[in-house]
Amino acid sequence: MKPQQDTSTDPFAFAFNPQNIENTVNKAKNTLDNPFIGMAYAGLGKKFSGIGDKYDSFLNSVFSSQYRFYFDVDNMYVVKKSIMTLAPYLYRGNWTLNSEFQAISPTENVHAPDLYLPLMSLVTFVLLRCLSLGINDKTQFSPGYIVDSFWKCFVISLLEVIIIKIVFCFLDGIRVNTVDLVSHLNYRYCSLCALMVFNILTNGIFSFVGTIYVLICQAIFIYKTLQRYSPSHNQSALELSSFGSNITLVLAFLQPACSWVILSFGQ
Amino acid sequence: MQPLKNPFGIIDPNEKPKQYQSNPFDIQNDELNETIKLGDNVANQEEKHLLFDSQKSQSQETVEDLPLLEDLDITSPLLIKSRIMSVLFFQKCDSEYLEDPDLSGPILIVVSLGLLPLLTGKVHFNYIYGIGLWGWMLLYLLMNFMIQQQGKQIEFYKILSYLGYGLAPIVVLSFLSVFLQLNSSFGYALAIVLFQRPLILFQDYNIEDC
Repeated sequence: MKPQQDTSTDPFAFAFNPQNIENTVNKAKNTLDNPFIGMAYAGLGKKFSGIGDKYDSFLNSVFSSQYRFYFDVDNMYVVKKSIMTLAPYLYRGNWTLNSEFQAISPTENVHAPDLYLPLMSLVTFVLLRCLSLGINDKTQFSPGYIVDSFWKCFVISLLEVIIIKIVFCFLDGIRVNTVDLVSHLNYRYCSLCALMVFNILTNGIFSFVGTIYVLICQAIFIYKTLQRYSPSHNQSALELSSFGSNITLVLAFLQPACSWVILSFGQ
Repeated sequence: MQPLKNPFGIIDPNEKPKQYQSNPFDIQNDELNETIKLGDNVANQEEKHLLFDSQKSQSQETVEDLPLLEDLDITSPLLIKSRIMSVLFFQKCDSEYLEDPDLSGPILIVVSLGLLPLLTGKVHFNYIYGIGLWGWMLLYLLMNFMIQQQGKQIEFYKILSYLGYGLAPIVVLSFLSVFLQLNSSFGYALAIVLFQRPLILFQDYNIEDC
């Protein structure tokens, strides 16, 4: 004979009582058959599908916004810009945009800012740096070095953008587009990638000379690029002042200093 | 010697199996030497074609001979194998893959890429999956910004699929690292050759061709 279990002290007895189970099932059936509950569930489903539609439309709005001009590049533009970062003295004259509008495609004007080249060259630089470390010192490399290198480059670039933005704000409130500034200041990684490849293939005095050359080219590049935002460039010839060009010169030396810090980190 | 009796009847081992050239559902009356064919008694002769047709018997036999996976239309293992081989042996991807990429192959590749370094004593799951995730998102943003010029869009899973299959040569490299020391000239040369493969895979889905 099966011993009867004493369920008087079992707190979960109500769930396992057959009569309670039937009541629970019937209640669930009544709830589902209730048209108002059904409408509430349908509304919830529509809300969730609406979230998906909003997400899709948000993505479409982001990708079709003005930022898409920063990625409108082609092979010729990449080659020209890379040469410009490595040998800026070859492009004489003012580096200005033909139109006053900000959204200019880089394929139309080689001096227009883009985000493709800085982003790709940053990633390439981090990988080349890790490769260089792995080749020179086999025991020092670890996968965490990739993340460390990326964050160091990111933080130094961010600080440089903030400093230059503040300086321009103090100079008669000159407004510079932040994305354009990020673009201009991060073309350095393009020349740094070339430097890393050169350092991997050579060593000693050649590496040192190559480093100095790249840093000087970066200074010239930034000086000529930031001239379009300086006060001396925007004022008329009668009101020309050398203060703006001096500031641009000082800011131009900030770029090779930051590049030197990036190169010396982790060595 | 008389053949042995068995529950299925007396079977002559030398007897060949009957060849049913006519419809096996036809009723043959040997005493009256007549055959009642299937469909003779069907009231509506228009539905006769639904009955067994001997001409279709051969095609049914070929359908029964197909492997089970193909019969059930489960071709993932074959597709994964063919796509990985096309990646490793410098072959062009099939157009069907470019239109409808799958994720089963990339998942297999990524899991093996995480497991193989375990044989060398390295646990790098977090770096592989973390860096892979960031690279996936950045590439999604980059490609969609660049494709917007043509008014098109590429989905998340397609990029994940391309990146996943592109990691196949890296899996080969990590497998070789278990037995060889790749931090040498031979290892560098092998890495350069194998790293070219993912670049060629992405060239097949060139943005200009969208």
